[in-house]
Amino acid sequence: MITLNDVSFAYSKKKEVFSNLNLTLEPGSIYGLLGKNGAGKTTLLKMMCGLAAPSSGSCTTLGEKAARKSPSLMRELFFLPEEFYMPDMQIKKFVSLNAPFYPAFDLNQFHRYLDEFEINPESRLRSLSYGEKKKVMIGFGIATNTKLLLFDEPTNGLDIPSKRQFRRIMASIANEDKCIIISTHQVRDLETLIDHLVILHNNRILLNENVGVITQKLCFKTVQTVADNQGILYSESSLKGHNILLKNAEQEDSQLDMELLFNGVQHCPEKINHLFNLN
Amino acid sequence: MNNIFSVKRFALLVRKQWLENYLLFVGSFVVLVAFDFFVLYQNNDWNVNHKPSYFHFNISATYILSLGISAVFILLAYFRIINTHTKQIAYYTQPTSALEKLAATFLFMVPVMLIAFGAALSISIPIMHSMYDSFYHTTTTLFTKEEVSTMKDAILVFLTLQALILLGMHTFKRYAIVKTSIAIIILFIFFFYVLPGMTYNWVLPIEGFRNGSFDTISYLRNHEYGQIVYKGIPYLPSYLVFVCWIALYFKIKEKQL
Repeated sequence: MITLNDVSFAYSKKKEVFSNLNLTLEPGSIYGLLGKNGAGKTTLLKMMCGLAAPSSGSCTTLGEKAARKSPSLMRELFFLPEEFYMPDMQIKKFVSLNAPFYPAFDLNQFHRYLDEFEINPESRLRSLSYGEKKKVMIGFGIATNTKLLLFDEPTNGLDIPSKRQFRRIMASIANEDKCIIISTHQVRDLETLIDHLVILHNNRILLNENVGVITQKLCFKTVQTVADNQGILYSESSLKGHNILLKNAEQEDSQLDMELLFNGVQHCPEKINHLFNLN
Repeated sequence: MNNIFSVKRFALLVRKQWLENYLLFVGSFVVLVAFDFFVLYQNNDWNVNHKPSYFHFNISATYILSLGISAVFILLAYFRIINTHTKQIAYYTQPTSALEKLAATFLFMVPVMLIAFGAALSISIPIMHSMYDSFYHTTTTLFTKEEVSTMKDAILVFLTLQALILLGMHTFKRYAIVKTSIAIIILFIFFFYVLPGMTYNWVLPIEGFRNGSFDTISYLRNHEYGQIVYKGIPYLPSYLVFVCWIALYFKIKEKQL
């Protein structure tokens, strides 16, 4: 669905964001895009929807060169940036002006999401809070029923119940034909939703793996002391003791701790890379 | 699927831009008509003690100022569409082609603007003109040849400036209006001062060579060519309009954020 082939990108000569990046994203998954500030998460999303063109290499989305921004491509993807624009008008007017560009848009579905998010469709957009506007945009984006959804920090600004609703809605729309990419810092919000992780760091991809494979190869535990544990890849203190990341030699079942994994990958990239490249 | 131009998508885009901006358009038109009345009143002698038997009703100032005001309003409406990063993301991710975006821009910037401008003048001038005639019981003239010529030039200059500003808005990422204004001033100086100066006195010497080796044939050839170039310079804006609109198409097509 999305193929980045030897992609390099720089905003200026001094600020290189990607260097020879290779990445393939397939339909049927919810991808979590993680990385520190400035790692290039937003740039990567922009590249996928044609708003940024690689300085070398190619970025193909849904079989088309993304930078062309052709209507046939743009009507099959929806990009929700972290900061977005909404004109001053009623929600229903906003929908009537924008929905016709997306052939698979479902108005009933959109109203269902608004209902779930407890937003009155008669409201004026200007009267809504940032979080409510975001919920309208999330609902609109999902109701476009595009093959590709690109969400940049979708849970920023959402209250706790809304985050739960967001997870539920996203889980309900995931299917074999759809590819959802979510860039986020709020790993706890989306831990149970994401089924494939891409971690960006220093112009490259540190980890690109399915959650199932990650939990098969790594074990996440909380222990009182780290001294007795062998094969610890990374550990950090917590109120309950120490959260540790270790090689899953015993094939134990453990719950993915995305924050621990992210920190571990940042801390010892070589060890973890080595583990995943061994197959 | 037609990725170059679809009438349906174009219509949807025009509808969207109109409905998002119609209050500004209608409000601008009302202000424009009021402004025309005001300038027509200010630029004609309405002194009751003064009763001319023949008077030329002055509409030139209204025409020029009205054109300027129309340009400001319409560019303001366009500026509202793309003046922030978030608006640009919404604009460029819209499932429409670069040609459709360009055509919608052209529609609002040129035909719609000129129709609104003409309509405002068509309302204000006849009313004020007939009022003036009935006020003084006289017959006044509206247009002179020179005025018509000035009006044509004004439209040309307007279209050039408009195209340059649009191109600047899509070219510069930050402070687009400021940078565009500076670029236009530099272009203006180049076309109207530097280029004529260079063609007259340096590249194509009108007075021939002055170093003693005067070549008549070369001089005449250069002289005639120089004249053609020099006479063509004032028409450069009309070529610039086309160049700018074509450049604008590629800017929209290849825009990165």
